[in-house]
Amino acid sequence: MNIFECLKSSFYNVFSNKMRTVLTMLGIIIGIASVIIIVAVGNGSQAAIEEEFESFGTGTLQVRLVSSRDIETRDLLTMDDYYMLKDIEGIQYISPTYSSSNAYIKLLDPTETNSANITGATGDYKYINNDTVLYGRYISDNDVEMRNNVCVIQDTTALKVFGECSENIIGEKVKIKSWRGTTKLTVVGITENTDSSSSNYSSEYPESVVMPITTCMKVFTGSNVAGISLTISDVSQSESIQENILSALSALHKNEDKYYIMDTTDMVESINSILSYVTVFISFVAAISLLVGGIGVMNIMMVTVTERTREIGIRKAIGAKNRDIRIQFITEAIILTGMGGLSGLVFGYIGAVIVGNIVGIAPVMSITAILGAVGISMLIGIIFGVAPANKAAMLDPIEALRFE
Amino acid sequence: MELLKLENIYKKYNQGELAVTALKDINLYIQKGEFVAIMGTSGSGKSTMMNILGCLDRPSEGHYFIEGEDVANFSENRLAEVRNKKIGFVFQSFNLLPKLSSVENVELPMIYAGESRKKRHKKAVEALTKVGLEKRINHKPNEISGGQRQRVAIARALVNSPSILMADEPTGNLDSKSTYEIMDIFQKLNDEGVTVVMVTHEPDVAQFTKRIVVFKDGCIISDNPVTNRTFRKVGEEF
Repeated sequence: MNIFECLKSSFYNVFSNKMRTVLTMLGIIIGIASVIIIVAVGNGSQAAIEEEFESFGTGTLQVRLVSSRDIETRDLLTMDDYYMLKDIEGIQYISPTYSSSNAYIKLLDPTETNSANITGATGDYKYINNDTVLYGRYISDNDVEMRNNVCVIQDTTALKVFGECSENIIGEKVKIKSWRGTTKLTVVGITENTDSSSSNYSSEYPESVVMPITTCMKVFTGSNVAGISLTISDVSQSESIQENILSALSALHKNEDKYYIMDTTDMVESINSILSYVTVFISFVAAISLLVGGIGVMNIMMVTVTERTREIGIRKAIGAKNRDIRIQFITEAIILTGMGGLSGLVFGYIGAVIVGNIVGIAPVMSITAILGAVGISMLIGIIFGVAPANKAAMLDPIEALRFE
Repeated sequence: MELLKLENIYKKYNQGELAVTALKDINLYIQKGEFVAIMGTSGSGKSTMMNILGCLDRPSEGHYFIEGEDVANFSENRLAEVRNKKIGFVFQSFNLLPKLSSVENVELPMIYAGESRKKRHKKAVEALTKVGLEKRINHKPNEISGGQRQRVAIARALVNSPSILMADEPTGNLDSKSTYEIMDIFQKLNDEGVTVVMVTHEPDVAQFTKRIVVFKDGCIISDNPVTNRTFRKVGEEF
């Protein structure tokens, strides 16, 4: 019996019992659809997280004060630390940072304000943050030294504050409101907003304003910096440089274990590993669903074999070999699960788009996932089709022909 | 050389403690072109004989030669091949696949023989024409009468040009008119050289054959040529 005849006959049998076929496939459909949704949304969020960190600059280290109760004033990070660390060998770019989202920026309509994310930094921050200057210039070390009231805003902010984004904005002033009162800053540059998530076009998203760290301290914070961000030219040196930084800081502040270094690469890795744990866990649940679906297929195939005992007897009497019968029933099981897998793929894709819309993540479909889903479903057909097919193949033709 | 040769055939079943011997030391020779009726009461061993003759079952002891080849110890796969190529079955309950049309049912043995699509269809239509069903080739079994169903079954049995046609109570489920038609077909096929072995318990039906072998308690008790053979008479009711 050739494959074509076998397929034809199997399709015929599968389709001649539509309701049963659909119900049997349901387990596989649900299993495959959930796998597709999990993988697509998981990949999507991974991509989103990686992009987020890329815009921040992967490979960025952040020196921070550990948050514990026994912090004394002498432990706080200052500009002196920055000047000291600047000279450590192997550091590529370095900038003290201070961030606050507790500020507002006046918009085009003078009665309206929007929350602003204030960042104080130095010229190096451009490279650390991977900023691209569209118009004007970035804040410079001179600005830092002179405590100039200047700032760099993003193109999206420019549109909201000035109604346009062009060379003309350079030299204009933005008003920042904080608990220290209102400050006017001259815009010296406009950077590109590379955050691709759609939410930053909505009004709730804070506007990003970068200003010299010294200006920031003068206006908002006093004498301390929140942290020091830096990049390292040779990543393989990262560990020893981190040690140097920590020991230098401890020496300067005459304290121990008050600082830690946050590595964004590590963060990406740890978030990814958490994500993959979640994916593995949910995939495990999906695998159980596939297992249950497979057992459902086996069950229905067993019923089919019993129902068609006489047919099997007839086929054997006229010359079907055990192999022919076995192949026929396995093919039917594969068709059942294969079609289930394909439908699951379609439903999974639709589901991934819907879930992606709800959580704000663009689902990423991979060819591996698609081929894997179809492959796995067919494999389930083979695995769970073998037992019923063997039962059919081993039937005694005389007994089978007598079956009512 | 005999077409079928059975030598010292035994068939024993073990049902728990009790061993049942269904066939005892059967010796039977069937020549090409014969038309044999196997008769006997139920439990006489005639169905067991039929199953062994049709290669659906293997004897416990003895030799069974088909065209000189001893099939008694053939594997299941080889027996399937023998059933496919050398034996055509006609059953009491027709045993057609209900979801397939007449022509598809007749094509079935050729599918397992590995014939091409085109050839299959051509031969199936020829076989159906031979049994007078050329106008029913696309009907499903439940759309035609019992006699017609049995004719489809005969077409199916003939389509691989087997050495022998095995019929197990072929008229058991038919009315007398259809019985007449079916026996008529068997006689015509036999006239054309087809060897037919038929199990029946109806003496009237057995009278259509050329030789009657009677079984009782697993043994052959008589084996005689048919005298006063019934022949097809056009228009006459059976």
